[in-house]
Amino acid sequence: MNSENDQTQVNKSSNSSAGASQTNWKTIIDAASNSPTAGHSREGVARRYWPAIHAFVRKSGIPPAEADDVTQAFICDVMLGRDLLAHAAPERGRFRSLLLTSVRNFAIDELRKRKSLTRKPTNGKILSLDDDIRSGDRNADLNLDDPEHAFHTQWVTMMIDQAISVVRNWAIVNSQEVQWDIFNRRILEPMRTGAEPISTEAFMKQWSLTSSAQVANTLARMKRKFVAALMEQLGNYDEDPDMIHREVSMLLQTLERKTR
Amino acid sequence: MNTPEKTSALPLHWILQSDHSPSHTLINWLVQEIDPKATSPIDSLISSDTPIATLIGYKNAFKHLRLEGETLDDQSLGAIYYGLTIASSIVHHHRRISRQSNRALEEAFRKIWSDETIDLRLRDLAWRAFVLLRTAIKDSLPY
Repeated sequence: MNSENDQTQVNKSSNSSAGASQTNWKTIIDAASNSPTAGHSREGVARRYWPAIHAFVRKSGIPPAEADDVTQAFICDVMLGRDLLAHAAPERGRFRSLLLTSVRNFAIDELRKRKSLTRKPTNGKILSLDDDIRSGDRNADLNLDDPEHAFHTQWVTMMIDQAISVVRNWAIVNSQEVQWDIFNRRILEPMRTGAEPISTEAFMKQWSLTSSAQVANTLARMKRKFVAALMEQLGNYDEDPDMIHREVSMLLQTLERKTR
Repeated sequence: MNTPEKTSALPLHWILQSDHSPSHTLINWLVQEIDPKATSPIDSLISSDTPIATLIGYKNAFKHLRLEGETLDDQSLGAIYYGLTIASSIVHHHRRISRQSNRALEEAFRKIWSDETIDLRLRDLAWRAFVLLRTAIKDSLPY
């Protein structure tokens, strides 16, 4: 671990938007470089992926009290220290897959270390974590399905938050507050908080609109803006449109599973 | 038509309805906004089960798109679907939901029918409306 990495203290409470808007392949590549802005980029990348990494660590069986430290260790030792970012490249595939594989391996190592400290040999043989998984041991600390789902859920949440931020900023800059309000209270808030969607009539009354067609068109137009923003987020990691579409499908399935 | 579905139950399904044409995507979403049970604009327009009130809702939304659409493609597609909705009401309900002149409607239907980029089922709808309008003119279709 180099000294610069040692100094990279990730504030998990500031992971939502700060530094996120600029994080894409360019930022990842910059973070892996020796450019003057590399330190800033590394900080941005670390903040951005903290929630997904932490979710995986937490669900993999690491005790809650230690999940922060393990996440911090992964970011400093693997992501930054072992130059994980330098191995990332657009042509090599999705950054999400690379990160997931790395954090999975890291978590397995961590759990192995912990097991070796706490578990005594049985009949002279030390059971490996793999044995636990293969034998379907329900007491095994690591259930690979749940941590991955937690990771993907955090990832899609990050993407959606970012897309929402882009659309909101667009609305502010272009004085489209009414459009934003209709989209937010009819689509976004119900999706995020379970709030009751506002009716077309209520919007018409509040904003003195003369026809329900205005509300319908506003919603359709804002949906299109949102999809464009989301696709741009995903396109920062993958330029193949079919791949992006598959990615969206996968992410939505993740969300759907979360809401069941 | 204005009672929204609880979107939290189906968080972002509408995203997957987006296709490679942003304007067609907009039409899909408009139709679903007006009738959440609608499966597609084409199905809704060619079905005789689509109520006249729903068609009027579509017509108003497409008219708005025709006039206020963000892009020329949006406006153009809005105009086509505006005409098709009127065609659907004539074919399936024997009612006119537009005050456009017969001549203007016939011209619009003929234009849709001859546009090979439009789905054949919709072109057929426009043709049937064109014929009905021509033949039923003396009986005067009720507005």
